[in-house]
Amino acid sequence: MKEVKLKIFLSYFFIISHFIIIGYLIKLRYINDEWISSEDFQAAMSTIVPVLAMITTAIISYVIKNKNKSLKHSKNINSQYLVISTIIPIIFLVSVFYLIHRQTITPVENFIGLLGVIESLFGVYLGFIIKSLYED
Amino acid sequence: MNFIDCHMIPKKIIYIICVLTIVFQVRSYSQTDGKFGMLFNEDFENVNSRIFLSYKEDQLSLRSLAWLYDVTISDSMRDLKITLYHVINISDRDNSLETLFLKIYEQSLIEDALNSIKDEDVFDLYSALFQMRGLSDLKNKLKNIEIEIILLDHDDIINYSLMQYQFAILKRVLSLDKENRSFTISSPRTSYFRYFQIKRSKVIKQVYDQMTKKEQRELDSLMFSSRLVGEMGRDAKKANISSLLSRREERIRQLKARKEEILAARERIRKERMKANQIVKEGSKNKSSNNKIKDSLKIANNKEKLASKNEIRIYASITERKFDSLFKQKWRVTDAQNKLTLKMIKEMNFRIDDPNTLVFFIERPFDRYSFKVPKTKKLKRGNVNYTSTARPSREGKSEDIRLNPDFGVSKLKGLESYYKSQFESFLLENYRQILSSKSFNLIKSNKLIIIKCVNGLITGDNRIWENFEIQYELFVQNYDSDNLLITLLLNISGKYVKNGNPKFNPTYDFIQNKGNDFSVDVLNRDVKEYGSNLFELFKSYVIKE
Repeated sequence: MKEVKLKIFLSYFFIISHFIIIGYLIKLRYINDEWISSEDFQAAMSTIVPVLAMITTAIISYVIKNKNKSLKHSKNINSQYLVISTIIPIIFLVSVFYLIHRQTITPVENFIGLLGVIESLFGVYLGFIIKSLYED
Repeated sequence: MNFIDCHMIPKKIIYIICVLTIVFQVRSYSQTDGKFGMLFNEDFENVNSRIFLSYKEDQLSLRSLAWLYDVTISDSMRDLKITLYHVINISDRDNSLETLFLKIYEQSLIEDALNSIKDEDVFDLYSALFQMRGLSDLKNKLKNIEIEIILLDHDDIINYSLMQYQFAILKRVLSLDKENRSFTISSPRTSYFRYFQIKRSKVIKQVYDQMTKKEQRELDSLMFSSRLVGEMGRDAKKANISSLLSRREERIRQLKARKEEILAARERIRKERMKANQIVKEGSKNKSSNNKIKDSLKIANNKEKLASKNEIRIYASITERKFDSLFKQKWRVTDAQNKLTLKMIKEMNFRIDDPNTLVFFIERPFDRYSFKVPKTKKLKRGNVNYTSTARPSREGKSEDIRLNPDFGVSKLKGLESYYKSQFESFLLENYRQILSSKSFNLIKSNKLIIIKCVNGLITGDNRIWENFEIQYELFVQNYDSDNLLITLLLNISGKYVKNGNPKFNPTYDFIQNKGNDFSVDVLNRDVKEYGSNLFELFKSYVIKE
C-alpha cells in the first residue's frame, strides 16, 4: 500500500473525528437536555480536545506545506505499519466515544480519570504515528 | 338601628360562648303600595338591609362575624324569605373561636349549648327578626318563612361548624313562633352579596381596618367580582362572579358529601352496636360466645371512633428555618406549651438547628378510650386494643365524657408508641411501590428512612435522580385536658443528579459522590414541600385509622 493513501485516510479520519467528538459533546450537553453533566462536559472537552487539536493541527500544517506536491509518487509501506497506524487511532477514538456515551447512561464517578488513562495509553503511540507520517 | 344583646351561656361548659350583638341597619326601602317594596336577591340595587352580628371580646377574644341579609316577600305578603350571607369570618386563627366551635361541634354539644340559652334571650332574637322595618306589620300575615344561610367564606369545616351552630340557634328561634307557620331553613348555597355595603358600614369598617394587610387583600379579592356588580350593572355580574361561585359550590358539595359520609358511618355503627347488644342479650348464657360479642362491640366502638375522627380538624404548622421563630408563628400553643415542646425536642437530640428540619403539630382530642398498647415488637394496624371498661357512653352528658386532666404519663407513652407505629406503618404503605426495588430502607432503631436512587420522588422531575434520608421523631404531650398535641419532626436531606437521558441509571454511590446537595440548592424548597406533603398524607392516614 502506498504511504500517501494512508496519509489521506488518517487525515480525514482524525479531522472528521475531531469535530464529531466536539459536536457530540455539545449535543449531549446543550441539545439533549443535559445528558452529560456540566462537570463531565468540561472534563471531556479539556482532556480530549487538546490531543485531537494537536493531531489535527499537525495534519493541516502538513497539508498546507505540501499543497503543491503531487500525490501520485509515494513509497510503499509494509502491512505491519499499516495495521498499527490504523488500528491504534481507531481504538482510541472508539474508546473515547464509548466512554462518553456510557457516561450518559451508567455514569462512573471517575470519568476524568478514565479519559486520562485512555489518553495516556494511546497518546504516545499516536504521537509516533503522526510524527512518522506528517513530519518531513 | 336596633341593638339587641343575647347572652348565651352554655350550661356546665367552662366557656362562656359569646354575647351576640345584633345590629339591624335598615336602609332604603323602596316604598310601594303604601307598605314596602319587593326586595329580591336579584336586585342588588335594592337590597334592603343587613344584620351585623358581633361577638364581644370580653371572654373569648373574639372578633367579629359579619352577616348580610336579603329579605324577599311575595306579592301576596304571605311568604317571607330571609337570606343570611355569612360574609366572612374575620376571627383570627389564633384566638379561641375555632376551638370553641370545634368543641361545640365535635363533642355534639350543640344541643346542650342551646338548652342553656334562656328563652327570653332567644325570644329577643326572634323579636329582632321581626323588628325590621315593615316586617313587624307582616308578622301576623306571613304563612311561610324560609331562611337560607349562605356561606361565603374560604374556610371549610370551621365555618361549617359555625354555621351548624347558628343554624341550630335559628331553629330554636323559629320554634318559638306560635303562629303555626311553615318554616324552611336551607343551607348552604352560594349567592351574590354586596361588598360596598360592607365598606359603608362603620362597624365593619372598623373591623376591616383592624385586619392585617393580607387579610384585607384576601377580602378584597374575594369581594372584587361582586363590587363589579354594583358598578357595571346586573348583566355583567353573573359572568364576573360565576367562577367564584362555582368554586364555593364545589367546596360546599364536598362538605355535604363528607357530612353524609359521617352520618352514614354513624348509622352503620349504630346498627352494629344494636346487633352486638342483641347478641349480648341472647348469648349471655353461653360463655363461649362472649369473646365474639366483645369483639363485635370493639369493632363497633372502633368504627364509631373512626367516624368521629373524620370530623376532627387537625392543625398543622410548618416552621420557618430559624429555630427561634419556631414557636412564634400562628400556632395556638401557650407559652408553657412552647417551653415544654422546646425542652422535649432538645432532649431528643434531634437536628433541630438544621435548616432542613421540619416541625409539624397535630392536635387531636384524647381518645375516649384507654389505650392498651401491646408490648409486642411490631405494632400493626388493629393491634391497639381498647378496654371496654374504660369506655364511657357517647350518649352521656358532657361531664361524663370529659377526660381526667391528669392523663397518666404511662398512657401518654402508650399513645406515643401507638402514633409512632402509626407513622411507621404509614411510611411502609406510602413507599409501598419502591419497597420491592430494595431502594427503601426503614431503620426503626435509628428512626431513619433511607431511599436510594429514586426518580423524581421529591422534585417530581423525571430527569432528577435522588438519594435521600428522612430522620423522624414523634412525641406526644398533654395539650390541655381534652386534647393531645403530637409533634412530628422530620429532617430530610439528600443529594441528586440531573440527567435528561431516559436510559440514565445512576448508582447510589454515584449520586452520593457526584450529586448536588438538596439543602444548598434551589430544590430545597421542593424538599420542604415534600415534607409537608408527607405530613399531610400522614394526617389523612391518622384520620382514616
